[in-house]
Amino acid sequence: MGWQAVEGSFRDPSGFVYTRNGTLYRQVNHSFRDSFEAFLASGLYDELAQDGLLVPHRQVGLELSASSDAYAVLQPDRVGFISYPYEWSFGQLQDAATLTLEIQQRALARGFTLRDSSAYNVQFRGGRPVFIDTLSFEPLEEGKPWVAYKQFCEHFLLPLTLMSSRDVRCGQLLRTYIDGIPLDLGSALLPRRTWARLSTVLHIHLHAWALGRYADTAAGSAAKGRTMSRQRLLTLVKNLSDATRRLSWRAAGTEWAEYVTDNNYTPAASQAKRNLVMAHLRSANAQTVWDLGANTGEYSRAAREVAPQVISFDVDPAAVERNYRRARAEGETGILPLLLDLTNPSPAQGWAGRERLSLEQRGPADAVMALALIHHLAIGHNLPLEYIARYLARIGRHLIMEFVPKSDSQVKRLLLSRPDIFPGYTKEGFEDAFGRHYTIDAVQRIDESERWLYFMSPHSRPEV
Amino acid sequence: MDHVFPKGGLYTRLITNRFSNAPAGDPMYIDPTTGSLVLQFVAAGVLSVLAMASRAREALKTFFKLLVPRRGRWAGKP
Repeated sequence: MGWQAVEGSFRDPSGFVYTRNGTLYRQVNHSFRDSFEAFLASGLYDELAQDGLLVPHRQVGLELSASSDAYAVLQPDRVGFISYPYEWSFGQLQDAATLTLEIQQRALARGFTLRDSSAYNVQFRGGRPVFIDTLSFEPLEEGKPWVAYKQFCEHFLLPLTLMSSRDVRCGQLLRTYIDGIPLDLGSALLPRRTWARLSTVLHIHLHAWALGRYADTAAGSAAKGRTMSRQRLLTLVKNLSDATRRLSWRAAGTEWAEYVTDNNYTPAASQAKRNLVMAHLRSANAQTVWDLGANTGEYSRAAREVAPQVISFDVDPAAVERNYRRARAEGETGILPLLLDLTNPSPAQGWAGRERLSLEQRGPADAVMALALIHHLAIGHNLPLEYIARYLARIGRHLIMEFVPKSDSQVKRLLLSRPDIFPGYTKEGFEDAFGRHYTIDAVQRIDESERWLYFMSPHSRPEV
Repeated sequence: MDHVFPKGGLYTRLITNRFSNAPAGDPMYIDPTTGSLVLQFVAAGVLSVLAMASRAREALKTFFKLLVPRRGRWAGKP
């Protein structure tokens, strides 16, 4: 066979994505030939690719196809790290939504339409969202409504409205509902004041009501004789765009968003730690770095000076949002901030548990950084040190880890309201647990602090 | 980008098909659902009417601004 399907792309009968010898390809099936040719001939592809809205591709020979119904084979540019909507901050989801609507507006202007508007069609590349599904475009049939309208509301507008108007943590509903948050659920969760906003009333509350009202009615009879002009479609899309842009969330007030300005490092200790981290990353020749517990990305930016791609994970939505806003404002291309609860990392899920990849399946990284994190996992979440070592050894080829002793004020803070049931949480206990999975290549005390920095390599190298 | 697909001809045919309501390419593969389609017609209609009303209001405002001289001009202010 020689090829391996990318499991997230099987729902669309017009083609699918696969890898062959490590190279990513997209097959266009014969059934989609006319639409695809028209899309290319219209100039829409060139416009979107040149403006950085759509991932560019080059066409390769049919001998690289995966099945006999191939009409064309494309080799898209690689995106780098694949991320999912439930890992995005508010601003990232909002930017992805805005991109989708921008593309739909441009498509309509050229007589095309998006035939789906899944949030999974968007990835982050070079610090910006980019549309990755080249087969999402079809010629607009004059008079027809937008078939992906409901999908847009469920994947983007409703999650963003919930995050903005109810609680930012509602974004995590996307992890359970990977086909989008059901409108009836979202409508019930939204506060009453959202009934005073026309766009929310139309696109969410009445939309949810209409789905129930017409649940047993055939589309043909309900929409009989109705047509939608292109101008009306544009008005609808523009309203969705305005409604999406108007939503806001203030990224502040959470515990960890203030951590950078509320920690116990002296400037000298901070600089010493930064120098050590960069030296270790250089010696590891790291190309990809995962910064776990990155907060607003201070050390991710240090890592970025050494490695071209840094994924900056944190559990705190406000910290991730600030990190993303800073990366976007400063045009940083190599840092991707993402939301991740390391005690419950993104699982493999979707159909047969294979549609969306787990965090581990998207690794291993060349280097994993876990700075000022161990005490949160071991004491804050009762995770045995060896469990932590075992998991981290699977996701990175090198580990830079900071050990924070019990005498540190941050650990004391964690133990303020609970008995100390962690007799094994010592430097020796740490080295014993991690030594079972790692070779400790170097250990250094951070200047002007009681903390230690470890540089380790797993005994068995994690497989790609 | 270089493509080996023949350009011209087919696009015109597809554009022509749009006006005859002939299906093009694969049939839709996601379910738009009846309720959502109905709501979309209603929402687009409401928004279009509001957009028209807004445009009319702007036009009227501009008209009256032209018609009625500003108070500042009467008072000799700049």
